[in-house]
Formats: sequence, structure tokens, C-alpha cells
Amino acid sequence: MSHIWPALIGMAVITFSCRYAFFAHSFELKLPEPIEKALKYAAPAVLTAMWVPIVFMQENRTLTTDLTDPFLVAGVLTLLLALFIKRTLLVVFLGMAAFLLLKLYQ
Amino acid sequence: MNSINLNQDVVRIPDRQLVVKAIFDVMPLSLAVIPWGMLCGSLAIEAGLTPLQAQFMSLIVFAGAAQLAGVSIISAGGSIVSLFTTTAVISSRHLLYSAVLKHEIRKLPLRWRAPLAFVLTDEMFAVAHAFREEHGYFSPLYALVAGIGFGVIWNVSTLVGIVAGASIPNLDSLGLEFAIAATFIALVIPAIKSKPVLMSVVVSGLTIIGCNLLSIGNSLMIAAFAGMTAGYITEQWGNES
Repeated sequence: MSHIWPALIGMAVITFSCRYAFFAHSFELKLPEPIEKALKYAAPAVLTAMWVPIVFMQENRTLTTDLTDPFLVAGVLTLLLALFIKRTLLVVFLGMAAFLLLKLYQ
Repeated sequence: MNSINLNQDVVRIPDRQLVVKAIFDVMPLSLAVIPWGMLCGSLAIEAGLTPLQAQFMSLIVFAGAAQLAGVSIISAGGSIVSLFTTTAVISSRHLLYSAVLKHEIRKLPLRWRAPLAFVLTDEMFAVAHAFREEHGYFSPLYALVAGIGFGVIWNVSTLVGIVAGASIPNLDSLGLEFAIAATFIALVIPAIKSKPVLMSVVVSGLTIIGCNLLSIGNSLMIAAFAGMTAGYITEQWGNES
């Protein structure tokens, strides 16, 4: 591809447009009522779709079957910690510490 | 009577504290993205971009998944149409974030809306949304600082990738992406306070596993919409009974 600059600027316009779409004053995107209500669940749904494969799958292709896999063990541990500890950063720190230990002693 | 505070306004955190909190909160996610930033930088050079172009990409496109896909299309000599379509498909989840935050951000002046949109990544959305859940209000300053802090790390790691080129060590084996999983788990689990949210999480998780096992493309958006639909339907059932 010889036109790298136009390609980069085009990509930037696309990513910015997606992010700015609902913030614009010059037009207002209206969503149907059910979608408007369903947006409440967007954050938990989309974030879950990102962490579940990291914890439970290998290369996004197969389910992890090795019960000593550091991602699986530390992921489930983080899940349990998050149920009881309300401080987000502490949970992240403990989860990552567990993961690194498991990696080291694997 | 005087001792009873009837003011229902939320407690606002002072600006300086907000800035520090934003940087801390986005830190694990920023660390997790370092290998991806380096990969983006080195692959861009391999694909034939100049160092300036490679850096510029991280600076103005500022979207990891779209950049990695874009670089591989450029390097394979793909058409500009396929480059733009792929970028649009990958970026579609940002439309979702934009829609979720519109009520708070739309009423702000342009000097807030444009920069906030510019730094609206997965990571910024995750922490800004969690902040709103926890403190009961949306803080533009918190969101902007988290977004910029993340962007700085993203661009510095891209620069390292550009300079190191193909000689970057295999950071994949460190498993830094676990930090993403740990952070998102720590943000999502405490937010499960009702049956609809629980259903949205369970359905989204099962859907992404199913889609990935069957190698269905764009699985992230499919799972997100399945989860949102499940939450909405559960909510409607709850209202009827």
C-alpha cells in the first residue's frame, strides 16, 4: 500500500467517529427504547466478553483443561477475591501476585 | 433537625485527588498493554511504515486491536477498502461506549467532548464506568486523566517497539494480559448487584466461549449484545412479576 498517510488518517477518522458519535451536538443519534434500557448492561457484558477468554481459553480457541494453568487458577482466585474484597486495586494486585507466583513455580 | 443532612447530592472528590486516583486506577491496564504497544510499533516498521508513521498511528488512531489488524492488512498489501471496513468493524464497540456515556458527556462543551472521545478506549471506559458506579456521578476530569495516562503508556511502548524493531523479546510469554483479566474481573464482579446484571455477565461469558470455539468472527460484539439482551429481558420479566 503506497498511500500510508491517507490510510492512517482514514483509520483515525473512523475510530474517532465511533467514539464521538453520541457526543455530537450537531446531530443526535436516537436509540430505540429497549436498546436504551439494555445499555445499562453494556459495561458488564462487554468487559466480561474480554476477560472470560483470557481466563478460560487457550489462544481464544479451545477451553483450558489443564487445572494448573496459571490464567485459570489465578483468574478463579481473583473472581473469589472480588466477591469479598471491595477495593478494586487490592483485588487486582492480589490476583496478579498469585498469577506471577504460579508462573514462577509452574 | 440541623444535624440531619437532607442533601441527597453525591460527595464530590477534589480535583487533585481525582487525578491521582485516575492514574492509579488505570495503571494495571496500562502495564498490561505495554507488550501490545511494542508489538504494534515493531510490526508497523516490518509492514513498511516509517518510524514517524508508526508513531503517528498510535498517536491518532489510538486503538490497539484496530492498529494490529490494520498493520497486518497493510503488510499483506490489502486494499484500503478492506483496511477501512476492518477498522470500522473493530471500532464498533466504541459506539457502544459512546452511547453508554452520552447522557453525561453530551451536555459538556466541545473542549471536553472532543478530548474525551479521543481517549475513549476499552480501558478508559472500564475505569470511568466503574467510577460512576461507585461514586454515583461521572467525572470528566477523572475520565480524561485516565484516558491520557493510558495513552502516554501506549505511545511510549509503541516507541520502544519502533526502536527495538524485530529484536523485541517475547513479552507474550510473560502473560501480561492477565492484568486485563484481573482488572476487568475486579470491576465487573462488585457491579453484580441484581439478577439482570448477573444474567448479562453469565450470558456474555458463555456466548464469547461459544463463538470462539466455533471460530465465529466479531465474537466480542455478539457476546456483548447477547449479554445486554439477557439483562434487558431479565429486567422486563422482573417488572412483570
